[in-house]
Amino acid sequence: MDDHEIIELYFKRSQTAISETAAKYGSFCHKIADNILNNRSDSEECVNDTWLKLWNVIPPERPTHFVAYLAKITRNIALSMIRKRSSRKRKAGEYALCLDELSECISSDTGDISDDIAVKEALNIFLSKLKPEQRRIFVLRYLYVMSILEISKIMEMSEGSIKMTLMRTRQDLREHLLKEGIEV
Amino acid sequence: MKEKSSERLFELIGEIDNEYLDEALSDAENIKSKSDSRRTIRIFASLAAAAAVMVIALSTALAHNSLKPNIIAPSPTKDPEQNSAFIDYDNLPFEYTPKTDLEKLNGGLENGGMGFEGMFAYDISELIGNNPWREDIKITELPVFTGYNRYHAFSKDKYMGLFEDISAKLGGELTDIYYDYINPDYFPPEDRELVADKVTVLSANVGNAKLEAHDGACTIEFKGDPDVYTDGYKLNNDDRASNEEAYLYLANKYSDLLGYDSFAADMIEDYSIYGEKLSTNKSVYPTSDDPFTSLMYYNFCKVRFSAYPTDREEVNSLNSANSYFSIHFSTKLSSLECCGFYPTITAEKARQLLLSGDYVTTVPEDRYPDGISEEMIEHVELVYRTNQTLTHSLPYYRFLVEIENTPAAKESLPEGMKLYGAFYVPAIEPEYIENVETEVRFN
Repeated sequence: MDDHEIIELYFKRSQTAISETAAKYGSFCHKIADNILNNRSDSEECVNDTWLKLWNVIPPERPTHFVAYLAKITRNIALSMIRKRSSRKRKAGEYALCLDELSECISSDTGDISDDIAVKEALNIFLSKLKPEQRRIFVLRYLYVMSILEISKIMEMSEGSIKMTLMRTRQDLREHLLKEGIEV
Repeated sequence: MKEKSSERLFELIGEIDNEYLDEALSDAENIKSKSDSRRTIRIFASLAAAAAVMVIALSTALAHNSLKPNIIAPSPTKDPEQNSAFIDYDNLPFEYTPKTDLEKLNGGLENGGMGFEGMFAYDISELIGNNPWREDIKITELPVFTGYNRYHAFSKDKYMGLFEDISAKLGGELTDIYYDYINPDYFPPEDRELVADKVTVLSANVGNAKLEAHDGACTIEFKGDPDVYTDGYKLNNDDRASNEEAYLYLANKYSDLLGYDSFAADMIEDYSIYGEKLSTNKSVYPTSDDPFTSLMYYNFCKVRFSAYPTDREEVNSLNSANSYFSIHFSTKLSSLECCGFYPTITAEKARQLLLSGDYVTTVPEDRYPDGISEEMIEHVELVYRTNQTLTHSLPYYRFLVEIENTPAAKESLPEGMKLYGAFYVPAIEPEYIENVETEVRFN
């Protein structure tokens, strides 16, 4: 069943919408949740919350990028769950590794992001300037929270190449944010 | 505090435009789906050129640096007289400790990619590079390598020696050193010792140059207008002769940095399925008076150059910040461990094996439904495969075979264009080979 048909099921308020979504994207959402939460039962809860959220927002919303939409919901729910954890427990799995890597992009030690909207805009501009391959690797790592090994399989590149590309992209992002006058 | 900021940055990355999310997963979705479309053909010209040898080694060439191979002893050979004309065992271009037993070798191909090793060309000569191997060279045994392990882990100290040597030649100090240790816990117990204390990436700066090592290769990237470093030579010319001239000029210009004295160019054309020339797969490799050493250099020591902006773009205010010229070379020859010299078969014997169906290939059978006949074979060369997933890097006879050569199949190709598939027969005597699959299937 294609994404358009699944969305139509939500609009018809058919409960098969959720089962069809789960059948098609269940493991995908589980992977995102698990890479952030690093805990099977928490991931299960996160994915169930994702289905509930979808059920509640479609309609009225009609996402044009269904996979991206789904990924963002899963990611946001996982992050809100992780915020409720103690700081020690947060430090696990790919999420912790991603944070550690992203700290290389941080130029300020104040702990404050100056302006969310400006950062979002700067991120989109930054991504638009990257080569497609570099951009894909960055998004797979820091949005989909995929491991280096998973990315290397998708991109058909070695893990070393992926790591090196990410390192360079982080350096570029740091420079870009500084150039844009954004305190991160 | 930085931790809090990186958490917030991570959250904000979740707000990027959806188009980038879709783009990132585009190939991941393709991998899941079965496709036999002609559009999915992966043109392997770059890979094919050197049989998966992407890069270059300094190895012997950097004879004065820390990656210099340590020649311990000459090889025992079944018949030294026969090989003496081809292999100088007293001056091998790699480290070698004589082995008493020859282990069995895995003769399969790597798998897991998309498409197959197929190349379009109007004439077979466009796909033939400058391999120093010739069919009339009498070869009775060849080395097989291992140790370029599948995790691409390497010793930081060993590569720091290489970096220090390069920095000395560039007249600067190493700064901003970055490396990433591999986590042994991620690997099967039997491999943990192999990767312990190893890194997968190493980088550093020397003045305006950036050094990077990973995947058995090293890159030296000079920031700034590429013309300054190429003396105006262009890297992407329309004709092979101009490309060869440019590459040989640059190889000689940077010969001290590379540590070699003489080079040969290796150029292979690449076409789209619509018959348009895409690019030329360009490289140079060091040469030696000793043909065996040249063969090793050809397979393990290629050098490539790249630049940004490309020849067709001017350096301007928009791209000047990212402009560079880079030299990319393999370090594999000094990373590999020779696990012995194995008896070889002749190219003629390999041809017989090919015709009788004893080969490995990534070409699906439906691309040559009537099998392979003598007249379909257009070229043979001897190459090493060094893909990271292979346990052994061993020599193969690589045959270029015209496939989809029926009148009906040709109708779908641009006029005059042919499609060639690569078929491999291990060059080592079959008694030493195991795990040979007759065909590596994709998707």
